[in-house]
Amino acid sequence: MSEAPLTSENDFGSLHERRGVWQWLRGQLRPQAHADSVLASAELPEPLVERLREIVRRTRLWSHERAELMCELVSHVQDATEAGRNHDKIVASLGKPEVVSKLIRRSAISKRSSVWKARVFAGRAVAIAIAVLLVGYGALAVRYFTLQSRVEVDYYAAINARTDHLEEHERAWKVYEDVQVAWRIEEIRLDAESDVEPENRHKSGATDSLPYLDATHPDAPAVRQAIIAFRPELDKLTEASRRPALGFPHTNRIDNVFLGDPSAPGDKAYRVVPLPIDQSPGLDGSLIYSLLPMLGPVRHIGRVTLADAVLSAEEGKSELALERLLTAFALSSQISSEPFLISNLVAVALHSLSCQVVMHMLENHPGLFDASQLTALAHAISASRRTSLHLNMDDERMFFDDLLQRAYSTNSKGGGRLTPQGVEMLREMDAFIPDDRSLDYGYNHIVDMLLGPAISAGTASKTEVHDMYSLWIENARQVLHEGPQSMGRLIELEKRFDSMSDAEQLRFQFVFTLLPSLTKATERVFRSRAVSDATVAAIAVESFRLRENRLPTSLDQVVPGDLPALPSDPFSTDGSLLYRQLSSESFVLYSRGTDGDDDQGRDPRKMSPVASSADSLLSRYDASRGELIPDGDWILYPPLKD
Amino acid sequence: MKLESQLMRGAGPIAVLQMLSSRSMYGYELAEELDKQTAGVLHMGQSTLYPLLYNLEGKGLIKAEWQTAESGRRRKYYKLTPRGGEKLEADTQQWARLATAMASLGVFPMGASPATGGAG
Repeated sequence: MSEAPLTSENDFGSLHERRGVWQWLRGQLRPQAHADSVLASAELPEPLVERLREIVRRTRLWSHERAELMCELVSHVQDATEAGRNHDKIVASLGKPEVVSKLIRRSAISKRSSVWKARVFAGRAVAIAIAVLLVGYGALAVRYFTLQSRVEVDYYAAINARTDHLEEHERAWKVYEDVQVAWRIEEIRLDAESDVEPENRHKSGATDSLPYLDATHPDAPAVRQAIIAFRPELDKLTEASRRPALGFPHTNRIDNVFLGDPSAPGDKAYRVVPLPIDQSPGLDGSLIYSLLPMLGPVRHIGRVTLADAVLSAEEGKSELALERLLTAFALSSQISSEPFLISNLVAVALHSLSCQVVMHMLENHPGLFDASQLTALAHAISASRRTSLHLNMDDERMFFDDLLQRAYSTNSKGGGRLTPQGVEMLREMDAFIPDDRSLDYGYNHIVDMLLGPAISAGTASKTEVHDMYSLWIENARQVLHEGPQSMGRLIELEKRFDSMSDAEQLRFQFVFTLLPSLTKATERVFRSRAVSDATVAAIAVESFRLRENRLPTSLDQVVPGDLPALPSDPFSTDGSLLYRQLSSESFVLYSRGTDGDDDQGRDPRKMSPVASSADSLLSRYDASRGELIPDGDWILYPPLKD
Repeated sequence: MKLESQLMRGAGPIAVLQMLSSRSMYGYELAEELDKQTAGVLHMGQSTLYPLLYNLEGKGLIKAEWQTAESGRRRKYYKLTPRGGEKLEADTQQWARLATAMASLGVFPMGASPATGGAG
């Protein structure tokens, strides 16, 4: 016997280690090949060959392990044969392949490296964890796919019920649409006749800068003429603005019918035709898709009305100017009675703009209005303030509740979880899962199905989202009722939201996707109320001036004769708006502004690098923003030209 | 007479370690020697022997190395490792205590070796 050792590593193991990628791949693809070549070179009788091959093959060991095992078994068999053992006995001593191969495999694997064993252990642990997760997720999925949303309340019907009883002559929308379409045709004509480049025509041009015409703009004379010629149409608005409602049926489907040749290039005027409501239970049928196509046109004709008020004042036509102003304030009130926050905000904007126009007239055309006209104007502003400068939280809640019933299941306790329909809605609203519209419906549907159970289980319950939404809505309602000094409550809520963990924010994604910016909306209402109050105060000062032929030295002199009470300053916890006579013919009305103190009517926009926050109630009532507070006052009268 | 598999499972490893304590052996040689020295009581077929050897190797109790005979045949020789030696010593003591205990119960006469079938 040769004494030159051939270690197992040298013979099989390190061969395995050293071989290249190709050999490794071959070993993976044909793990038995090496062992078979060892067997073939042994030239054993067929029954032994078959048995050995079967045993080694069944071990399912690695290629080099099989070769080594085969080598050892072949050697054993050859020794037995040389010792004169009968082949049948040798075959019998090999044992049953299915049994012995398992025993060999188990023991051979015990020889493998610790690293390999650790890898296998880790792999099995991961596999088990995945299996447990899959089973758990499967259970979640079963529960999830049994959840169902149900549309129990028809909110469209509830909203439309408010105006369903109105006769045609009680609805203003048709008049407004006629006027708006006629003005749109005028605008298209003005555009066509303008020499100004299209990109400059509307930005600095006449129509977009309504109601104050920019006299230096080349289009101004033509626009001025167009508005004056349009007065018979604008006259129609006065009566319509006093009707109970716009009366446009609320729906989620409309058609725009364009006027004129549909193939002609350029802008076209069009009419809005309401179509029957899409009653589908998903997002399409919800109030979120409620269309308010009348808001834009009404706002537009409101601005044209105010532009004519300015022109009438310039012409000294006080009656006409007053009529236009009263119409604008009435329009504002009418819009505000439409549902949802967006209508309120359009009304707030129109009311504020109308106030600005009034103050512009008082400043530039003193003596235009007589005492009775001023009184009528003050009453109209006050009436519009009551109806226009608020936020209709109940309608906003309706909007949320409609989505809630479509997205959540309902259990016996009134709670519920996000349903497959709800997950689809959230995706369509780009919450959680981006809605990839470039991909076909099938892809999005698969993503919904895969992630839906996790989203449903991980997000807040119906009761929780309802309570979270109510927390914001009720706080905003309370703040609106109590006044600007309570703004801190909404600011605190915002901070609480900001300090929420990402996971917690995701839990309430449904709420925060749908919640409007209540803080900003509320601030806008308070600011508009201040503008409105200042306008009424300025009218009172003008009344005093007409009667006394001088300006009052203090606002106290106009109360209560010309002004029922001193208007409160939103930036002060207990003070009223401030008045300062500048000369025998000029005065200033102002609020203390963000810093809360009287700076003698000095405008911070001319003084401070942080002018943008000069009149921010948020800065005033949020101590943490102290460093941003500018020194100066918020000038309400005379209106500042930006 | 062959041992029942449960008994073989207990006795097999110590028998193999004992055989390898004197010299290195290859599989066939080991099986033949076991058969011969125990009068067939500890006869092991390949289906028992090789899994047993691989287990002992996996536990580090024996070590294998390939050698080539003059005939050109390659054989895998197994030898005891130091750890295997310690294990053999410990197991031998346990078996001795077991044999003594069994003898005291009269399972087989005192002084008779269980391997020689003294009990029967």
